[in-house]
Amino acid sequence: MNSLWRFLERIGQKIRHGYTFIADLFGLIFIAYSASWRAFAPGRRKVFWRMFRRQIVNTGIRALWINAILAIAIGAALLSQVHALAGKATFHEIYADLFILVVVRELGPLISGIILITRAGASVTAEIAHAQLLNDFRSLRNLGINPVTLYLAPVFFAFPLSLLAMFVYFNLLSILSAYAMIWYQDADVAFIPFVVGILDRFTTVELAVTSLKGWIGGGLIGLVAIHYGAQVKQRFTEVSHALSAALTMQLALFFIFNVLLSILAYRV
Amino acid sequence: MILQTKALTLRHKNRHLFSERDLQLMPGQILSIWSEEISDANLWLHAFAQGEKEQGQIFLAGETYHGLSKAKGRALLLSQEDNLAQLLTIWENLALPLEYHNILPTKQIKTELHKIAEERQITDCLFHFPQELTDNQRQQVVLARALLMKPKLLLLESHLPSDMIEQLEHFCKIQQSAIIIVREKPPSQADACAILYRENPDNRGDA
Repeated sequence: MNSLWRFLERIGQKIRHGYTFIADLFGLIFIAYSASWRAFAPGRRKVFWRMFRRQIVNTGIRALWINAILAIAIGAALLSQVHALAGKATFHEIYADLFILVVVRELGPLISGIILITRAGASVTAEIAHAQLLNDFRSLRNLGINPVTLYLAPVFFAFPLSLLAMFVYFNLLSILSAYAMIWYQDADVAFIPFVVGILDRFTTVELAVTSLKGWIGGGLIGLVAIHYGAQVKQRFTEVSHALSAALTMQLALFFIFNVLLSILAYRV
Repeated sequence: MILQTKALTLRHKNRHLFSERDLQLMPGQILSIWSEEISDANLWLHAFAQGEKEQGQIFLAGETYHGLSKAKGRALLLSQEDNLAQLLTIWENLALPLEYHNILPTKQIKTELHKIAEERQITDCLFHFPQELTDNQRQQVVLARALLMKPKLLLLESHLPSDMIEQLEHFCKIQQSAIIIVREKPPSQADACAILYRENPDNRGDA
């Protein structure tokens, strides 16, 4: 009876934690939006923009090389093999269908999301956790500065924008590297029909779903990073717990969100 | 007049404080607060700096505010700890409040910051982080920031170094600003105005 009671108690706790977590995320969205309105005041705007640019550089630009390596590898190694499998007559159609299906819809967003989580999400969690640990938020409040303008709002807007930019690099570099590899094998394959074939299949639905994956997925990664960083109270060991919890949750939520959106958009 | 409160009740962390209280502070005036339990007085000071108005009025340098935390850097709280943001460089710590509260134009910030850094002998540590500085250097940074921000009201916690308090009091006289300070001992008659604060800050009517 006791063990049953404990089991039920654990289930109750999990449900409560889940509910608190979701409520926290919505609270953070509300705080970020209201702070972004206040950030338009003359002095704050400069501070907000500086922090926003810093996040864009850290997430979208410094992560460019790893994104490029993976995109080139996928384009060159995987998609160039389509040329060997498909006949010359149907090559453009098959390649374009496969590119949209594999790279644009699934691999591009997933790999870009993983890069954002591991590279920028982890650093934001660590930064917020240390700011909590070192009482930086209290120091800022003593100066009449709202820490949300400095730490939360720039992340909330920079992460989605960076993720969208990463999707674009990834797709572009995959196309170019695949073409380079195919051209190396068969110089008769022309570049323009190759690219036009892909662009023809890039419909409004693809654009809408990719944008949603970038905006909502990027925002989700940023909010989860901030949420777990802010959970740190007084002990240094809490930083590593926050980091691992944030990474796990970001990966789980981002994958689930991507898969659900793909099913809703392309299967239903 | 620097600070004036009329029938003020503040709310801080769901507690009522400063119930329907009138207070006036003139330029150059120092208001001392003291409690048998020094932590109570410090808590009161923090609550006064960060609490929000529930009723009544707060005027600071002629403008009305919802709470001193909304006073755009015109009221500055200096505590024993937590004066400098550890994740920001000294330059950022000095420049951030000036930019955020639009106290100085961007071009002037750079000039003023270099000038004050030379005066306070902290030029070499401008791009270091607070934890890389000595206690004396950190103190000079806090003073430099107070001088740059030119707050109308300084709220000083207890346990601040005595030479720092002396310099801030001197600054207060020159700038014609006012100070509220937590004293470790009962205030002397030398202070322009003294409030002996005896009750627990959680209670109503504390000062």
